[in-house]
Amino acid sequence: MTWVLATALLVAAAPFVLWPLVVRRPEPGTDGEPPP
Amino acid sequence: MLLAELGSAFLLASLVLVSVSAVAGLLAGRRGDVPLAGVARRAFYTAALGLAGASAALLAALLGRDFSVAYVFEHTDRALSAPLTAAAFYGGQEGSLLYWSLLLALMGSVSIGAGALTSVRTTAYATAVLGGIVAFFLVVMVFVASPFALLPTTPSDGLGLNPLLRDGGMLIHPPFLLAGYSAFAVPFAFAIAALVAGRDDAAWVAHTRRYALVAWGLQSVGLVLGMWWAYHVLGWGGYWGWDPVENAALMPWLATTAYIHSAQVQERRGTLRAWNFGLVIAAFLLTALGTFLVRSGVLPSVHSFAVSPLGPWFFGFLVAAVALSGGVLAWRSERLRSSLAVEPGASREGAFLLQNVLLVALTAAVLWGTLLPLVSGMTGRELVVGAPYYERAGTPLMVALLALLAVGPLLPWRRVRDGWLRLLRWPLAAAAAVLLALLAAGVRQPGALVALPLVAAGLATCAAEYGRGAALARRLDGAWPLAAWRVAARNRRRYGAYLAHAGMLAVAAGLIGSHAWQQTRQVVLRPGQSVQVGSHTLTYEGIASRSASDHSALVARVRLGDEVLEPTRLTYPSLGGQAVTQPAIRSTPLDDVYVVLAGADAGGAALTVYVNPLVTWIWVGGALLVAGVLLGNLVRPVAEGERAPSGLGAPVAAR
Repeated sequence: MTWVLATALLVAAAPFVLWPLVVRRPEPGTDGEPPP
Repeated sequence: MLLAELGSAFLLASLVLVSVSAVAGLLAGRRGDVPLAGVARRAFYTAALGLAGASAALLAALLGRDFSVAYVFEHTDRALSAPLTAAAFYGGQEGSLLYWSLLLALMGSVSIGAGALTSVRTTAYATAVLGGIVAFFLVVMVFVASPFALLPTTPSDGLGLNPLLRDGGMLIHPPFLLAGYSAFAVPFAFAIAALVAGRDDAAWVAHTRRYALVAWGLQSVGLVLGMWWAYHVLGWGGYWGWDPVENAALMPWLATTAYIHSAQVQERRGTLRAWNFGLVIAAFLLTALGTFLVRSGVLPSVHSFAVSPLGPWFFGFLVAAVALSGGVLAWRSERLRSSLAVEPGASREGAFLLQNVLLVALTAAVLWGTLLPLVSGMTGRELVVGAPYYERAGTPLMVALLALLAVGPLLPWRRVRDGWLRLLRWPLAAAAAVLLALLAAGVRQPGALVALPLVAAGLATCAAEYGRGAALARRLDGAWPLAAWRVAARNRRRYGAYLAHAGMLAVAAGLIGSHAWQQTRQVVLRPGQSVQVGSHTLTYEGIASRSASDHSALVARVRLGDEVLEPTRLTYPSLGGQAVTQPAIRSTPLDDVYVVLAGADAGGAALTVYVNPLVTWIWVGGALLVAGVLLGNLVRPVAEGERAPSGLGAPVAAR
């Protein structure tokens, strides 16, 4: 039961968490730092 | 049952999310990958929500008296009031781990949200560190000490909360202290992140310092409330017992006190970078050490949780944190070397440096006293030190710190100019006046004769600085109150610091007064008989019995002037007859009369009476200390160059 509920919670959270990868911007490092 | 399943599911999901956050944060930091850093942050925020869900489930189980949950059974019963039942959330081992994780996740979310506006990459590393720390707590809660573990059968009632915890103090002291403990992880995470990312510039000092101040403020409130609670509940007439757990809470506070001062040297002069990183990291490692000591049961303490299987886990966490911090500091040591040296001799930075050395020495003395039983136990002969050790080691350091509080704020940056000694005239005059007054009053204790004049000198320094600000306001255009407000608002970090200094000095006066002049008498009195303690006469009038749902109470009536004090002794039949005392306290700014009922029978009442001078100053000083820091620092980030108005014509004062 715990595992089922935890999986459901993770599935519900996934769109919010992964959204930045979906709308991925091409260039890294927007904060004035050069990429390492 | 369903609540427990739901709570466990929230914990499990949160563990997955913070693990994602830690790994994604590390990768995003290494690659400078902005979207991945966003994933790391969002996973962390969502884990915080998950922990809030788990906390809500535990609270619902507690308030719903769901005794199928082992934690609810072990820490509450049906007779417990609703507020204390809710407070049982953090009253036991497993629940306090959940509370700690929740606070860290919430504070971490705020800090990484704000940090991402300054540097995505550095914040990604900080997210990884915070994610790693929260993941550790979640692993412990999911696999070793779950707050949602179920009992095979559901009992009709619970075991109840420890009687000592059945007090209003339970609602305020632990939440603040645990919040302080958890908050030290935030500046630590940003310090490690700044080191890894190679960002040790002013913006990151300001960011780290802000969260160090939050942790320090919470810990200050927690410590003062802890002293207040111990004083009002434990019935031994004191407020600090040098218990290992008290020491564990004090040490990170001392290290952070040093940091919030030395960070100013870095802001102003660009020096002490490695030292400052070291202090922030040390504060966190001291909290990790404290957590290990409290939760493993390796040291005997009134606060300890029972000996638990968590000791090796927390020891592993401590070792990992030490290894990570030491490794990162060693890796970046070359980069942190500053080209500028701290000016020798009398200067503001010299005073800060000396203050830091004194605070670190004090921390080391407390650490040694705390760990001695553990270290000596390894050699087969366990040694324990008590209050005399701490007082001998700490008093000279405290006296030197008091002297610095009087002189340090008057010193200019870089080096003193001609005539600076004139600035000391007010503190010296105040010290001389108090010394003469004490001698005239017949005081002969050397400690009080040295320390109290220094307290007066420090207060005079604060007053003189406020006076100079007020004088400046008089010279400005417009109405004086408005001008004074403008001066204060423009320099609020500085004036907030003086308020905090005044608070610290009041605390010091309370500590000195209550140590130097405490008087105690133990007596057995029949009704109508009196006892004289100091200048107070107390008359025992009689005793009464009362009963409540979960305890019976023996209440003595003791007359003190026009007032009646009622020291009480409570007995809990459901807990095997366990008894606790409730002292009766009459407080004035000059002294407290503190009466404890040790027992009573037909022959009379056994009373212990303490007269504790100046204790109220500790509580008032603690409030001023925190208010000063809040007013001065937490309202908004302080702009570079916010310093004394040029018209002061005096050295730039403390900020």
